[in-house]
Amino acid sequence: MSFDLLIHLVLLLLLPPFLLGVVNKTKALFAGRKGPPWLQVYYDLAKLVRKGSVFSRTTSWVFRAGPAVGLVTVILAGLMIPQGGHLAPVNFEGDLILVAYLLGLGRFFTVAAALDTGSAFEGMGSAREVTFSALTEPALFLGLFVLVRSSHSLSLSRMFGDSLPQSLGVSGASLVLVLVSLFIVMLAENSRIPVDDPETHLELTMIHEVMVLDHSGPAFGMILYSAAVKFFVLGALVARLAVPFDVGLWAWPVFMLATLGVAVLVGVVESVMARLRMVHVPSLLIAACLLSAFGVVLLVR
Amino acid sequence: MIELAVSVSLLLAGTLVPLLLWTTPVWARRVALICGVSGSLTGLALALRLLAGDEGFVAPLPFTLAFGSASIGIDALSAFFLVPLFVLGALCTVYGYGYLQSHPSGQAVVGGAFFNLLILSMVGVLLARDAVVFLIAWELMTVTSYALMTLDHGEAEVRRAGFVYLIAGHLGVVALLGLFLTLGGPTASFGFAAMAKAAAQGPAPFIVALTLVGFGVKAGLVPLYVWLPEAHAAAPSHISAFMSGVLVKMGVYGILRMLGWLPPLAWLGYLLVGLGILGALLGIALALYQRDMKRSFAYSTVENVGLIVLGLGLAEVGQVHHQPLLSALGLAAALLHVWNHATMKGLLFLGAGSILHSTGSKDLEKLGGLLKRMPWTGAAIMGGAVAVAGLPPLNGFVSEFFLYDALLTGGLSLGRFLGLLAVLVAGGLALVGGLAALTFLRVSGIALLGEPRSEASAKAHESSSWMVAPLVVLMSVCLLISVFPVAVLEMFESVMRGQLGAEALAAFAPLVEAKGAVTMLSRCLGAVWLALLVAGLGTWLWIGRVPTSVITWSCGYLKPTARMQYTASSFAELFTELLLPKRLRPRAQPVLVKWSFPAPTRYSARHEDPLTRGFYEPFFVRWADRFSHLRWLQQGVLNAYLFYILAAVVLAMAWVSLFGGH
Repeated sequence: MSFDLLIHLVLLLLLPPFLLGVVNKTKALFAGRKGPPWLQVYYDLAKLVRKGSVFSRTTSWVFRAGPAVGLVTVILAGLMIPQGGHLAPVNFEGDLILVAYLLGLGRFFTVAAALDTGSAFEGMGSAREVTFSALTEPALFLGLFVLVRSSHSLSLSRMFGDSLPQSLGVSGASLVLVLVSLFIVMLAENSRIPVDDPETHLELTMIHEVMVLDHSGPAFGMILYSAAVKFFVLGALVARLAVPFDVGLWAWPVFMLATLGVAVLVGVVESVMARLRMVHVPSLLIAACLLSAFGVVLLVR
Repeated sequence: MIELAVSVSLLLAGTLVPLLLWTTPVWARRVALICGVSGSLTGLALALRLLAGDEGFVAPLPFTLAFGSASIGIDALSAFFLVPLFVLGALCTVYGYGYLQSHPSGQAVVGGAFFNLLILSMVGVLLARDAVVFLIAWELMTVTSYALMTLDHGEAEVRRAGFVYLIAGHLGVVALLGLFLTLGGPTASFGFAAMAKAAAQGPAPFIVALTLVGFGVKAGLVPLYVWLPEAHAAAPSHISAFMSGVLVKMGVYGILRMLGWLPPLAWLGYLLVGLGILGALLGIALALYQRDMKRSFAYSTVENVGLIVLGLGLAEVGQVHHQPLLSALGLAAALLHVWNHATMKGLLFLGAGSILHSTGSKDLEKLGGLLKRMPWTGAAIMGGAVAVAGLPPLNGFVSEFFLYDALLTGGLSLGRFLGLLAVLVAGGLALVGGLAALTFLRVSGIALLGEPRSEASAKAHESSSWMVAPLVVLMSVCLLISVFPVAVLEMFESVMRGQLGAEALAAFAPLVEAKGAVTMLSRCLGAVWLALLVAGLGTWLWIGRVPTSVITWSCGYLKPTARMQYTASSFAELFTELLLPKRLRPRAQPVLVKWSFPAPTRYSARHEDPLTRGFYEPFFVRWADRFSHLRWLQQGVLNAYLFYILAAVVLAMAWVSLFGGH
């Protein structure tokens, strides 16, 4: 147990930036480039932490609190999200609701911090972020509800734990739908293509990056790091769903490989797809909601 | 018992003495303040004692009214609603004292005195144990709140809102009269105990319809909520807070009382769940794009009442299907949300009032940058926004947690199709949660953050301590409920036992034990608070003291102005244009830009209520036309109306003596 706990914490805190490196390498491979080093995101973080900060005269305490709240919420959520088939350090009946709403709290303050700059650009990004996340929320919830019904539990650790291999025969079809839906949710929540483009800073169609234009130094480092952690925790759910088997002693290595696989997949999606037009993003998210809802329907028998 | 007498006499004194001291307004207002606060606090002590497990009582009044003896009484359910009444009553009295300081002295005195009368009438509603006392108190409540609401009757908008409120209230009373006559009429006994027996055997669909119309109007149920956005926006802010936090809950009290009388009915449960989720979705969708801050909060009240009714419906469904855990969770969610909504929405309306007082505007497009100018009010509204958006670690999240828990429990334990429906409703709830975050980010972000959008908000200043102190108290209550939900739930025990029986309570007990979900949740919320505190402190030490030095960069603006900021309308536009059904959208005159040298153009949007615009207004206009030839009855002379009443009574008597009688 304590061994699992240790690995959970180490992975949660140290692995995420590497995953972003994997995504970038994958994209570089597709583009025929050499790409940044695998550990580039760690270098970036180290550089940002040592830098000074600049704050606009328009901003208030909300602007400085935003990155901190974002970081705290995503790490606390990470403590409740299981990795592989293992129990998460914190688990209780109903933790899935707390996890989803903690991510919501982080978003609330990130968006509020963006509005605090008083810039049209950042306001635009915040409006898009919250509007689209209002649609990803039902998709995420309905997807998780499928697992609630197949595992008869309201705890993420049980839903993604032992019960998953057992319910495979009964609810396999639903789980495939949920896998797709959660993958879309993950792409949207982490502002990846086809919803958002993490590469550009000045395109008008972007969401996440435009909100954090005015953050600098350690605050921006916190934002970058929490984005990576969020990528990891949502990716962990997708990875477990993709490999829902009981592999005994190999659980940790298999989980890590699966998570890297998810990162590679995100890189592939980003390389072969273009970003959707802004007006078409809701269709994609509604499709995710409907897929999850179908998953629920398939479980009725 | 003795506390009740003291509380009622203090409130009565707080009504009458200020009116007698008319000539010395300073003293009149002080008396109203002292009597209101002390009366409320005494009453609060009584209500809390009853919730802690003390026995209630029923006592006949020492005089008789029409239809026989009158009686009052108090039980756990009354006490449960007395708590928010007295808490908000005391706080709004204090706030109102500060708020009305700038009003003409006559209005301020009336405002103070009538507010005590309003509290008193609501105490009457909650304590009444027979139909006549109840209806008198109910009418008094409607009329006093109307008078308070139209305190600023110089403005046409306020007069119109008051008119709509009065009409809606009286249409509701007609339904209530019908309800009580149906229940008590046949046996001519209008005591609650006798009517409860009659309800158990009476024609259920008819009784339910009258209940939902009569109480639903006050509660703001869909589709009867239309008075609510007008009234909450027009009333002075402490009255809006009190109406939204407490008066609307009197409708919920009525529905709960009636649910206790009726046998468990499957269709009623489904109806309540349907009305609840529909109200929540519609309320939040309309709250989303309002320009008027208080109107937005008012629509969010519709949403929150929807959530409460959803919980009540789940409790009913659980009773029908013998799922004690489901019914306990549903009722706990509804009850907790009644208290939570009173505190959060009270906080938001009082905060909005503070802004209105300081900047003279509640139009979001004229606000901005207020967090720096009004630090206390601003922080309170930020907190209230987080709470009412249902986000942890504040109290709104706790009741939403119970709702999800109830729906998922239903999804697991109910039959195939019902279970599927429960899960889909939970998906709807997730959408409501997402939209609530959007709504309240918009209101708090546009009003409090960024640069001021008008001269008045640039010059805004913090309000007086009379107005700030209630905000701080309400914020602390929100915090306390979120950290100690188990203690709060223990106070609900007797209410839940009264409504659902001991079985449901037993099913609920494991949740609040040491390893139970609710206990774990409260610990986690405590941990979230701790983590936020530590992170906040760390951030402050790290980058907190770096001075603000430059203008917003935003990719190289040289001279940003407040007019370049994102507006409230554009913040909501993505949602209204892409996702909202056409009928619910604001009616906008689009900006037309023709050929290469465009002339000046303008954009305007009207945010009337779609239901009023689409149904009620045409409906009432048509009927008013049809009855226009009866206008001569409307003489505008008091004596004429007295004569009408006399004539009506005589006619009724004649009818009874000719056709009635045994």
